[in-house]
Amino acid sequence: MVRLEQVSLGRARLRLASLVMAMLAQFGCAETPDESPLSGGQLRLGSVLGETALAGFARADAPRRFEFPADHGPHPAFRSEWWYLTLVLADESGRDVGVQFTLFRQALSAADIPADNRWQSNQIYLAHFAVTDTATGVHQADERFARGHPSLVGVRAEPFRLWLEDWRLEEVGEVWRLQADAGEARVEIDLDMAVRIVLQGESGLSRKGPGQASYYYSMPGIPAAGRIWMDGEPRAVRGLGWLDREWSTSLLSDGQVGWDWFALQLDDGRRLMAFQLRRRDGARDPYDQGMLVGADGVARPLEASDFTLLPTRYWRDSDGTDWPVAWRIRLGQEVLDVVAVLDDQRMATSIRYWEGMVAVLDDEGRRLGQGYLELTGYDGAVDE
Amino acid sequence: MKLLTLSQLRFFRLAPWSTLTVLLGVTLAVSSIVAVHQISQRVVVSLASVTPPQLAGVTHQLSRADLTMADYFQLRARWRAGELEGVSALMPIVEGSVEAGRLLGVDAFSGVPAALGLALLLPDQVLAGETSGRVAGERILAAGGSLEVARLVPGLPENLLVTDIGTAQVALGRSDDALDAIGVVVRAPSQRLIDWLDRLMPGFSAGIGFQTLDIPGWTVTEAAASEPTLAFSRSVLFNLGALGSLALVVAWLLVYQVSVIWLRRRAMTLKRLRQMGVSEAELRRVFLLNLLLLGLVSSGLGILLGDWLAGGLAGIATGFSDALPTVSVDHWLFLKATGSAVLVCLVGGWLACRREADPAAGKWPFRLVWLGLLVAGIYGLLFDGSLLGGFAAIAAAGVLTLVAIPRVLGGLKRLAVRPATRYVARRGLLARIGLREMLWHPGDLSVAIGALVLALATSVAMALMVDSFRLDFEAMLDQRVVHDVFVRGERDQNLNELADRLQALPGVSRVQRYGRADRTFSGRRVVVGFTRFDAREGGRYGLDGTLPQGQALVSERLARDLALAPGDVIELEAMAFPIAAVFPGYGDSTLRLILDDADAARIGLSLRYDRLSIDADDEAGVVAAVAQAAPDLEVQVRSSIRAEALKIFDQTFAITRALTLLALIVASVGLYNALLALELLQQPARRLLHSMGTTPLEQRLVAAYRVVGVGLTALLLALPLGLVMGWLLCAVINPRAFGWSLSLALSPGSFVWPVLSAMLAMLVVGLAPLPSEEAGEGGALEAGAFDGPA
Repeated sequence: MVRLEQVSLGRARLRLASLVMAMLAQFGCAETPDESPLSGGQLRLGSVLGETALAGFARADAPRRFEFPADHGPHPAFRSEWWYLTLVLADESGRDVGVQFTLFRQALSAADIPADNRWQSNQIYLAHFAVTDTATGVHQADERFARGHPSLVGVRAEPFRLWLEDWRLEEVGEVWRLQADAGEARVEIDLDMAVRIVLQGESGLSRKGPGQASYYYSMPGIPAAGRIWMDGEPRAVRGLGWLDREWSTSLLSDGQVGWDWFALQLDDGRRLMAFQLRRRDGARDPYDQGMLVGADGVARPLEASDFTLLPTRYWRDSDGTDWPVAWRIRLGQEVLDVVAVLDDQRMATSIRYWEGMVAVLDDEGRRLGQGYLELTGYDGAVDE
Repeated sequence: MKLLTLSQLRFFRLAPWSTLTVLLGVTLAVSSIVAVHQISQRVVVSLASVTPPQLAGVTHQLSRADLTMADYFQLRARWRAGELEGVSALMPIVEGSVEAGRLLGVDAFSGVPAALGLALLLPDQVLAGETSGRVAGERILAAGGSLEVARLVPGLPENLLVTDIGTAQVALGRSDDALDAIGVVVRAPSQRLIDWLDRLMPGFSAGIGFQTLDIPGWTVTEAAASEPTLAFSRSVLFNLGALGSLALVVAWLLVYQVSVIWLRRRAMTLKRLRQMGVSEAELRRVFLLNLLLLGLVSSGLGILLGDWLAGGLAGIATGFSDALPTVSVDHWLFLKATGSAVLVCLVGGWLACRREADPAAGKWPFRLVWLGLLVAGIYGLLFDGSLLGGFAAIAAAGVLTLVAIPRVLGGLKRLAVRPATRYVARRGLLARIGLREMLWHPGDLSVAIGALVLALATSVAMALMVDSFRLDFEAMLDQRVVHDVFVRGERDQNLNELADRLQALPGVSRVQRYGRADRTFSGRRVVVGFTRFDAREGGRYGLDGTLPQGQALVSERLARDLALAPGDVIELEAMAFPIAAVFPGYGDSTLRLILDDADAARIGLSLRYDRLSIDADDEAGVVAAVAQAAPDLEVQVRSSIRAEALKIFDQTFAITRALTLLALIVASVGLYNALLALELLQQPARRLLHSMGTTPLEQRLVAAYRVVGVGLTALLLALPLGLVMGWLLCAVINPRAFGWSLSLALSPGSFVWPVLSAMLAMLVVGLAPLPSEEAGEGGALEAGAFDGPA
């Protein structure tokens, strides 16, 4: 049974932003620092991609009927789309392992491309893969770009297959299998996708603001098991996965300097997503939201007033940037302390951000669960 | 320690002339290094535009016969599986010519960071260079339709359009399976080291010919080698770097020699200091510290002098004479200047200290070096085809000569007491004394003579090579430049109509049309030229008759790069062309393949002609007619082409002559220093001669005879060494560096300049004052231990 939940839009924004930022940072389009889309950590996509770039694309402007497995596949009529998988795992010794695998799709134009030249695809892809291994204390990350040439990259709904060269997430028998590598790290994880699909927002229409929205669904709590190689020797791992799917044509608004996003899988069976968009003016963004799914599967939307996110410890990297790697979440009367399993889980990719595995503790330090934390827009030291 | 340092500094003050010679020698050597660095940087900056920014970082190109995209995807899969060690990115490349110029298509998302600049290009959009004369939004014609200039980018060569690979395939009328090469980014540790060494010594990678990538089944070409202009220029840079180092080697010999002399002159003082409890290590440390000080001062002076020298020489640099950009003084320059000065001073001083402490032990580093160089030289000559191997052979020849010098002096010493030398003896006592003084101190003079021999031999070798080159170059001009008037248009121009009009002019007997197109063979960019062949045109390329249809001519450089010889078959657009002949192309960095018009048409080349050659009774009339019909065209007559070519040729070697001269000056300074020390040693004998009634003039004559002896000995050794080095330059270095071979011509003129240089150096050294204040502490008495065990 599909449950419809009202969920935040922030994460959609950040991922779309990340993709475009990653490429624009390389294009050298910005003539001056002030015009850079990355200037001051702000997301100023509108200054780079004008409205004309949106012409011809489909818009997420009304609820739609989701159809599965077809909607696991691509929606090329929309400008942007992503498949976002995070895994919180543990090996046989109980040591934590986190995995992030993401594929972004972006259309350069809505124009029809002659089909007789496969290189002339207007679809481009970016994939990120990262492994956090607490046993070795290593966070290994890599990224790949590809254009929509079928010999390089693509997504197919049935049977499901997503590939960017030899990075793959594909349906194999009863499971989806993730195979990817980054440096010395390699994973082969099977995912039992027979889990509840949660339509976010209004029947899957996630509103981002006036006239802005995306289609968005999630699959939290996916049982996962497989092997990981960090130093050549395979280790069996087991845990939970979380898949987010979103597609849209909308742009971000000005005024945001970054975001802090949490996806926590608690040991008592509850799943918590919460995020805050940090605004330049310091005000809380009205789209700060969250969702708490109970162990019984019942989801409760969270508004900004339902929770607070407070950083409790910063880690300063070699560039002098302070990253908030420990947090306290107040959810009504409940207090959750969220602590990075490794301080340095920055993504060594074109995009400057931090995304990594976290442990969830109670106020006495007892473990309550695990999850993923994403931090963007941090590019300076915090004033003490 | 402080006292010891002051003591050593005081010695420098008491021995000002030898101190000055060290400063001067090292300064000149550093200026040589600095000048080469600055000129190289100017060349590197000017060459940067040869590589499209979108290919920045690509270190190699892969190619093989019948290359398709399937090969690329298979190779990518192998790379992703970890089979291609050190490779960090692969990128497909398609290139060809459209009417607007050369079109290069790459995949922006293949993983080569620089290529991402193409990412926002829509289908049918291209990037053009800022200097292309085009404007954003302009549409330009291509075989598959038209292309829009999306934007202008700095650094892109003016004749090049860069675009997405799909757009390039469509514009060139090729399928989406078409592929010309695969660009590779290698980030192996060895590659990083080579990149670093290339910064330290521009052109280094061209010299070593070391392949950091080997993929069975694929032809691997270094990125620079795939672009002939780059490969050519880097070879020039390597040659300049090698020549610039010559002065450094000579300066090192100078420092070593001066250090030995200083240590002996201070022998008494040092002995007293040891008796006072100063350790050997402390004495050595202080000595080296003060040499270091001299090195640092010299490096500063050398930077100033070298930068000035570079500014003067840059304008006439070979092949880049038009407008070399200016460059600023960078940290690499300081590193090289300071490093070379310090290295020369410390190593020279340290070896001298070792020799003085233990004469037998002091010889092993030299033996090790010359034995190593000998092995490297033989290997480089016979088994290694790299430029570095060729220079190792030259270095080995030089070192062998250096090693032979004490033995030659010893032999002359024995001859000096035999009847054969009585003729000299009969000329007078003074001559006998002068020559005897030279021969009786081979242990020290041999170092100075060795430095002079090296500089002179290099001068002889360069003169031999340049003269040989000039003869071959003139022969090529005689053969190739046979028409009266030459008209050159822009690459995408078609001068067919103009040719028809010129043909109709009275007195014009022939109009020869030349066209060209770019093609890629084995990862190298080749210009395919075409014209209508007959016996006269065939003669321009050394054929007895015309070029038979279905056959091709290749330039010597292309033949060498692809290991082609007459009779071999080269495949072009699926058609096989046997090679009729290989023609020389001195001074031309382009890889060329020449076809008859009919064959060019058969392989699908558009017969557009951008250059014309005209035979006419009235040259001026033709020039006027061209100027009237197409004022933008470049027109030259035969005599001006020849004069211009020879002028450029002569300018080309101005830098090498200047560098050789620097080394010669440093050697002369070293020789002066050695003679100065010898003069001090001979002061008691001078007093004896004086008491016997010799005049100051006669005493100067003794010194002059000594100098003449040194000069003759140096020439005796330098001439054969120069001959060997000249042969190596013609037969080994030039083919390896530039792809052309030269016939060594033993023109007398080749020896005149070096011999005159040697005589001039001797004259200057002989006439230079030998100041009495150089006696230093201990004076001549302490210097009694000067020569040591000869």
